[in-house]
Amino acid sequence: MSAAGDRAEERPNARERELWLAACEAARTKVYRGLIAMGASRSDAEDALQDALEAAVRVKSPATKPEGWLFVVAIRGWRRHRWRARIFHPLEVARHAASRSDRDGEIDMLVELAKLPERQRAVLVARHVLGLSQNETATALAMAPGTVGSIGHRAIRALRERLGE
Amino acid sequence: MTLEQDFDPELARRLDARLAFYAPVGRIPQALPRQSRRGLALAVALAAILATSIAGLGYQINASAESQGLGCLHPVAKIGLFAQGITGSAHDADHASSAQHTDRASHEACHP
Repeated sequence: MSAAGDRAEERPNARERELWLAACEAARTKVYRGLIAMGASRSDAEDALQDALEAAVRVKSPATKPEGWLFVVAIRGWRRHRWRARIFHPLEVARHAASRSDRDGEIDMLVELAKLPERQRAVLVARHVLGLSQNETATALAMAPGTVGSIGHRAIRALRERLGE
Repeated sequence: MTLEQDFDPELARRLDARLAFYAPVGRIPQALPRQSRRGLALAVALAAILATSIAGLGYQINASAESQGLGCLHPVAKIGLFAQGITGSAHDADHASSAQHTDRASHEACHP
């Protein structure tokens, strides 16, 4: 194929890429809040989000919903970071856990949310913080839409019980 | 039909209000060069050494059992046999050194 043909083929890709990166940039705050809602500290959320954005720059086939994609990639990065911290900095992890349990006296939505199982938390955050639909959540978290529905329903009920409602 | 029972608008509003003060600090939105992988290389080298050592020890245990014609033994029994062999040889060495010491003492008594 000629060079002009190659350029014509590249152009839509470059445009798509630009749109993808712009959408990722626009989704930053939502994903950051999603990570905080999942139980990450501010610095952990910053690091996980930064790693996810770097991965977004390298991605070859952009996903349709950047919020969901960034959220899942950031969650994986945060999970790896937690494992590494547990192995190499156990004292810091224990100190962090102790400082969080100090807040047990007050009924705080984020504290109670952090006590839910990870799958329930992820579905609830994807639906209520990121604003993804049931199908988008299912695609992002690699679940069936029905599973998302039932997990989400259970998560709402459990959170409401924890909040004493 | 899937009912949308997994979304609570009131909960979404409350979460939004609770998270309103959280915002990411602006960072450079470009891929940074990857950090040095020295730690990873060291971990891989250590893991390789450990794996080789374990494989070597296993081979030695098996060879030791086979040399005694007990190749059909259970692996745990082979390990026990190998451990017995080590303690036995240490015990023999101890005896040998004490016997050597006695010999030397008697030699020195005869030839001061």
